[in-house]
Amino acid sequence: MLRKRWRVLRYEKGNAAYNMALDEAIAEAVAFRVAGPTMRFYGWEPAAVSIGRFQKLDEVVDMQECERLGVEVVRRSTGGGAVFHDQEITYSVICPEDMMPADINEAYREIGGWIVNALKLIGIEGTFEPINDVLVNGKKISGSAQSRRKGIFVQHGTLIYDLDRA
Amino acid sequence: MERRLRVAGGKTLALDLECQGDEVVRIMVSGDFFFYPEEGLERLESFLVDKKVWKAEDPEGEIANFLSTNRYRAVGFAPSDLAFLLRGLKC
Repeated sequence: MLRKRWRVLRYEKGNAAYNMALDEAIAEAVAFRVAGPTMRFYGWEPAAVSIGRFQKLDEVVDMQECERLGVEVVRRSTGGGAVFHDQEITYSVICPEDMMPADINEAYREIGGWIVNALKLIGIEGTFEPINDVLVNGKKISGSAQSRRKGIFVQHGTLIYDLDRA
Repeated sequence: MERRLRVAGGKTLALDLECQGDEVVRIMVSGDFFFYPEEGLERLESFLVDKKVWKAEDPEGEIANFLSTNRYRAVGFAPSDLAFLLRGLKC
């Protein structure tokens, strides 16, 4: 499926607004053909909650508690549910829509397959679970959300590697 | 006024109504679903109000037809779920 050379933006941490704004800017740059298809890896500092494009903020986030804990809140351009971002690697895949399968489920499967293969390289056996999850030992470690606008495909996803339950 | 449904598969689908007197003037659809293309959801909301889909003989069919005609795709809820929330709608 990869017909073009991908640009890879290496892992860096940013705050919630920066992280989402940069993905938007990349999507715009790809749309205007001033940037090629891009994979970006990033983290969140401080920890943050992102909510889906169609969710109502006051219903899914306790803003007072987030403020008390110093957790930032941001809306994604992609659908899906609220996600707490802390000890994880987040990725975005941004490219012209025609580089991805037209079928939404197939596109999730394609990128899910990349993650499963990457995990295998470091000795972790993962499985793709439709619609958009990757499981290890039967438990979800990665979820994703996709958008397609103006001919540009964007998929956000997470890969959790630890959890601070405190 | 809000109506909410936990859809099979675990997603949440909610409707918010805006009324002027007895008339529904706006419907907002929210939840943790996916909708492609995203900007199509606003058109769906307008369609529901303009056509008063809750009064239609076959609301589910009307919604399904609107989605397929416009090549919109909802992932996480079905036309029947939205039709269920629209049942007997009034301000």
